[in-house]
Amino acid sequence: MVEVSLTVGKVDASLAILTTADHYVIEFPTVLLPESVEAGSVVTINVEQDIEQEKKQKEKFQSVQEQILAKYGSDGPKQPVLQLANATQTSCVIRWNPIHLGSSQLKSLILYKQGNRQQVIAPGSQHDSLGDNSLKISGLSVDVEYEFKLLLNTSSGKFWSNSLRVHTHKMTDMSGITVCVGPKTDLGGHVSIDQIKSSLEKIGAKPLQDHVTLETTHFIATHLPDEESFRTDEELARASDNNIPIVRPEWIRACELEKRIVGVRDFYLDSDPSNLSNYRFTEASVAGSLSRQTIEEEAVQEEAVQEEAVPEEAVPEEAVPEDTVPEDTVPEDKVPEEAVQEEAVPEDTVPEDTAPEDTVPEDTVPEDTVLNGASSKEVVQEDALLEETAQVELEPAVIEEISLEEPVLKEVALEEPTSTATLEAPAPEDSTELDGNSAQPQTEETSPEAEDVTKNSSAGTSNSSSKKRTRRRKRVRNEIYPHEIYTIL
Amino acid sequence: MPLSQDSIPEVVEETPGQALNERIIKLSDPDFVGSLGPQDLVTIVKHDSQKKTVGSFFYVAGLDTSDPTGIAIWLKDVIECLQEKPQLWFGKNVKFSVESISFTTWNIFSQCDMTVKVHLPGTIETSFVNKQGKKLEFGEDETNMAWGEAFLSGKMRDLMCMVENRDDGEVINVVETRIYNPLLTGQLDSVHDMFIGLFPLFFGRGAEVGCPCIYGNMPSTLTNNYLVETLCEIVRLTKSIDLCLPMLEELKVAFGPLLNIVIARIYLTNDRELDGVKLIHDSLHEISDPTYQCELLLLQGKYLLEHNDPQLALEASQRGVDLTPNAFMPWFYLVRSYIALGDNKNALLSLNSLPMNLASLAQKYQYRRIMNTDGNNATVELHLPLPLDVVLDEVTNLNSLLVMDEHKVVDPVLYNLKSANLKNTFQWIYELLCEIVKNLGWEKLLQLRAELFLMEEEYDHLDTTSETESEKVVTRDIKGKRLCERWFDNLFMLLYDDLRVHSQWQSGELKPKTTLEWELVGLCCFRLRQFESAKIAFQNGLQIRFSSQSSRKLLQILLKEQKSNPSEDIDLEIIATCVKLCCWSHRWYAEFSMLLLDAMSIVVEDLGTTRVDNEVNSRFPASVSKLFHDNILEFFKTYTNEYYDE
Repeated sequence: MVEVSLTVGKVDASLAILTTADHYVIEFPTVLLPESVEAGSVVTINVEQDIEQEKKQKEKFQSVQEQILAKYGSDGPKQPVLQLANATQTSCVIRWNPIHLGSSQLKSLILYKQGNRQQVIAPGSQHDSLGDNSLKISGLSVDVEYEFKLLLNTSSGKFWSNSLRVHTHKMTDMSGITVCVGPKTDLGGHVSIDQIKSSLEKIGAKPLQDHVTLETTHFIATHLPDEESFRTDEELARASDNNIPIVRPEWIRACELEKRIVGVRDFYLDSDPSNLSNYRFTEASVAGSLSRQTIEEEAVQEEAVQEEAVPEEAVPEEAVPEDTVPEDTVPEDKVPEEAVQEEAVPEDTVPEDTAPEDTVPEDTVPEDTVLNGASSKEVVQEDALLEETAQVELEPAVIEEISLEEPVLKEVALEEPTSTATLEAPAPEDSTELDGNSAQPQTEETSPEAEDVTKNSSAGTSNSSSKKRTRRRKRVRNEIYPHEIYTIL
Repeated sequence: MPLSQDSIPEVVEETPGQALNERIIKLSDPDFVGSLGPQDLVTIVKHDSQKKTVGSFFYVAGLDTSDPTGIAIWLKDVIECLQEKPQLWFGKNVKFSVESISFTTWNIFSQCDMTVKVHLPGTIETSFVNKQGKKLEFGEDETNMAWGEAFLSGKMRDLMCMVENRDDGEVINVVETRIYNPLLTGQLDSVHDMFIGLFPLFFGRGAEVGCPCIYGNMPSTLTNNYLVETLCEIVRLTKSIDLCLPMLEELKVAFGPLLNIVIARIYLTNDRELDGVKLIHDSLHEISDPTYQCELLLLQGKYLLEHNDPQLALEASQRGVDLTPNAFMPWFYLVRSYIALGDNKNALLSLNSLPMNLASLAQKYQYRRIMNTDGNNATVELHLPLPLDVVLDEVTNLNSLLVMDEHKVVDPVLYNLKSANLKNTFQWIYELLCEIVKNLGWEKLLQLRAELFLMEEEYDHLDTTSETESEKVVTRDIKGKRLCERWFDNLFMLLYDDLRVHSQWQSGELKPKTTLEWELVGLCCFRLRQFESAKIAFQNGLQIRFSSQSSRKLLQILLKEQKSNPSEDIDLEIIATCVKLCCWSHRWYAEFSMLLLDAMSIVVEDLGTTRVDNEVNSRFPASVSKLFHDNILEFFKTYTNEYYDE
C-alpha cells in the first residue's frame, strides 16, 4: 500500500490542485475531497490495489465475451431447402422451408432459374400476398425441365439451396390444374359441385378448392362479376388480384372431352357463349367419358412403371415435395394403380408430377417413331397447343402481354423436337442426369433463357408485369413530388 | 475511358521544368510530404510552330507505378493525345510538338522520388532523388524492389485519399489532377493480385508508414496503418478474400496472433461475420498488449453496434476505455452505446471526457499543390479543357458563373453556420450531440446539461464565499458537477445555430431560393440527423440545377433508405444519382470514386450488372452510359472475382 500526504491548493469549482512534499502536482476532483477542506489543508491518500475488484471485473469481462460468442459466434445460417408444391404446363409453385439465419443478417434471397438470376425474393420485392415462403413462377414452356435454386446471401456468407428440377406438364397431363369454386360462387342451375368434382377427377386434376391459394390455376364463376361482387366475394377478389383466370365451369368439361388442357379464351364470362354448347355438363356424357378415362389411365400407369427408374435416383430432391402435399396427389380413381406403384417403388421416391408427365402415351409414342421423318408435323401441332396455353395463364385484363409472349413461345416450340427426342431416348437422358448440365440440357435451356430476358425487360408474367405497372406509376409520382413541394413553398 | 486531349488538365509553368524543381525542393518540407507523400506529377516540355518552348504540368493518381516501361507507354499515350489535331490552348488553335515528358512518383518506403522521363523521339531515362534533393543510385535488385515499393505507395495514396475524405464527399481540391481507378490499371496483373502478392514483404514495416485518422488518434501499429487499411479496402472492394486469407495465415506463422486482428477485420468486412466473431473472442485471450487488445475491442464494438446490441457494445467499449483511456475511438463507441441505450446522462458525461485535444491532431491525407494555382494569388495559369466525349447537359454544361452568382446572394444566416466546417473527430462527436438532441429535444438537453455541468453563473456563485447554511448546500451541489470542456461548450453553440436555421425553415420564415441555399439547408438538416427534411431540401435544389455536393449527400440518404426499407425504386434513384456524379467526376478528370463504387455495389448486388446497364442505357445518352459502363460496371464485372451476378 502506498500512502501519500498532500497539501491542498486553491479549490476550484471542480478540480483542486494537490502537491506533495517531493513536488508532484496532482489534479484532483473537488467532489472527492472532504467538505471542510480549503486552501492549505493537508490530506492523506491511501492507494492500494483492489485485487478482489480486479478479479470481479475480469470475470465480468470474460462472461461478456462468452455471451458475445454464444449470441453471435455459434449459430450460423443454414442452407435453404427448396421443394416443389405444384407444376402445370406453364407454371410451377415452389416452396422453401423457413429460412434460418442464426445470428447473421439477411442480405438477399434470390431465385435462380437454369443457373441464371431470375428474381430477388428478398429484400424489396412485394411478396405475393398468397404465399409466404412460396412463389409461383409463370411463363414456363410446356414439357421442359427447369432447374431452380435459391441463393441465401447473408452477412455470414452465401448459401445455395438444393437444386430443384421441375418438369412442366404436357398438354395432355392435367394433374397440375387446381380449380377453385369459392363458397359464394353461384353456379346457377346448369352445373353442380359434384359434376365439377367428378370432371376434375376424371382429368386427373387436383381436388376442387374452396379457397384461392398460390397453387390455384382457375377460378370458376357463372356470372360476369361486377364491382359489388368483388367487394363481397373475398375469394373472387383474391383470384382477380392474383391474375388467376376466371372461367365458366364448361372449361373443365372441355378439358375432359378434349383430353387435354384447352385455352381459356372461349370460356371467359364475357366470351361468346355459343362456344360453350359442346361442353355442357350432362349426365350421359359423364358416364361415357368415365369409361374412356379409365382405359387411358391404365395406359398411363403402364408407361409410368417403365419410366420410373430414371427419375427415382437421379432427382432425389423431387421426392421431398411429395411429403408435404400428399393430399393433392392421388386422385380417387387412380387409387388401385397407385397402390401397385407404391409397392414397386418404395414410399415417396417418385413424384406424382414427374411420372405422368413423362409418360402420357399419345404424345410420346408418335414422337419417338417420327423422329427422323415427319418431325416438322409434330412442331406444328405443338405450336397450336402452345398458343392456347399462353392464354390459359392470362385473363382479359392482361391481353396486351399475350402478343409479347406468343412469339417467344413459338421459338420455344421450334426447339421442342430436340428436347422431346432426347427425353424419350433413355440413354442420353441418363447421362445428362448424372453429369448435371451437359450438352443436351444446355441447348434445351437456351430457349427458356431467351424468353426470360425478354420478360424482364418488357412484359413479364402476368403477375410481375402488373407489379411493374404499379412501379412505373410510382416512379412518375416521384418525379412530380419534389416539384410540388417546391411550388408549395 | 480512353485518354483524350480534352481530358488532360494542364498548368502552365513560368519556365520549363519549374514544377519538378519546386517539388524536389519541397521534399524536405515534412508538411508537404506528410505520411504518404504528394500525388504523382507529370511535366511536359513542348514548342509551338515558332519554336517557342512552353512548360506545363498536371498531377495524376491511380496509375500502376510498378514498372517504368508501363509508365513510359502511358506517357507516350499522353503525348499522342496532346499532339492530336486540332489542339486547343486557351481558346486558340495551336500546333505544339512535345519535346519531353516526365512522370514522378513518391516512394514511401525508400523515401525518394522516382522519375521516368521520355525524350522524343525515343530515349527513356529513370532517376531517383531523395528528400535532400540528392540523386540516388540503385543496383538492379534494389531498383526492382523500389518499383514494387512505388506500386504499394501509389495504391496507398489512391485509396487513402478517398477513405480519409469520405465524410467530406471525397472532394478533390486539386482540380488539375487526373484520377484513374487504381483497381483497374494493373499492367501485368490485376491490382489486387499484385497488392496481395507484395503485401507480406512490407507488412513488418507498416507502422512506419503512418496510420489513417479515420480511427481518431489510435497509434500506428503493425495492424493499424495505411498499408493494412489499403489492403482491407482493396479486398473489400474487389472481393478478394480467398486470395488474401492464405497470405495472412502465412504471415501469422512469422508474426504470431497479432495477424488475427487483420484476419478478423477481413472476415467482418467480407460477409464472414461468424468467423470474425469467433476469432475476436479467441484472440482476446492470446493478445495481451492493451493497444492491440483495444483494436480487437473496437472491431467487436463496431460489430455489436451495427447489430443493434448496445448493451454488449457498451461492455466492449468500456473495456477499451479502461485499457487505453487516451484513445478517442473506444470513448466514441462508448458514447454511441449510451445513446443507443437511451442513457443520455452517461452519454453527455462520457462525451465530455473524450480526449479531444489529443484526437484532433490527426490529419487527413489530401492532395497538395506544388505551386499555388488557386484564386487571386495564383502564380500560374490553368488550362482546364471540357471533355467532349461525355455530354450530359445538366451536369457537364453547368455554368460556373451561375454558381458563383448564387454564392454572392446567399442568405448570411445560412452561410455562417460554423458547424459546416467541423472536421474529423469534431464532426463525428457533433453528430453524436445531434443524435442526443434528436432524441431528447433542445429544452431537455439544456436541462440535463445544467444538471451535470457547471454553468457560468454557478461558477461566479462559487467565487463569492458562502456564509449562510442554505448557500453552503448550494455550494455542495455545485461541487458535485463537472466543468464542461470548452470544445464541448462550443458544440452546444453550433448546435443552437443549426437548430435555429432548421426551425426557421420549417416555419417558413426562411425561404431558400437558389440551389446553394437549398444545399445549405439540406446540409444543416443532414447534420441534425433530420434525413427526411434534408432529402427534400437537396431534391428541391437539384430541381433547379445540378450540384455535386447535394447529389452526394442525397446519395447517402438514399443508401440509408435502401438499407432500412429496400426497394427497386430506391435502387433506380441511386443509379440516376450515381450516373450524374460519375459524369461530374469525369468532367473534372476523375474516373474513380469510392463513394460511387460502394453505392453501386449495393445496387449491382440487388439487380445484377446487365439490368443496371439496361437501366442506364434506357435513361441516359449513349456517351454517358458508356462512361458509366467503363468506370463503374466494368469494375463489378471484371475485377471483383465473379462475386456479382450478370
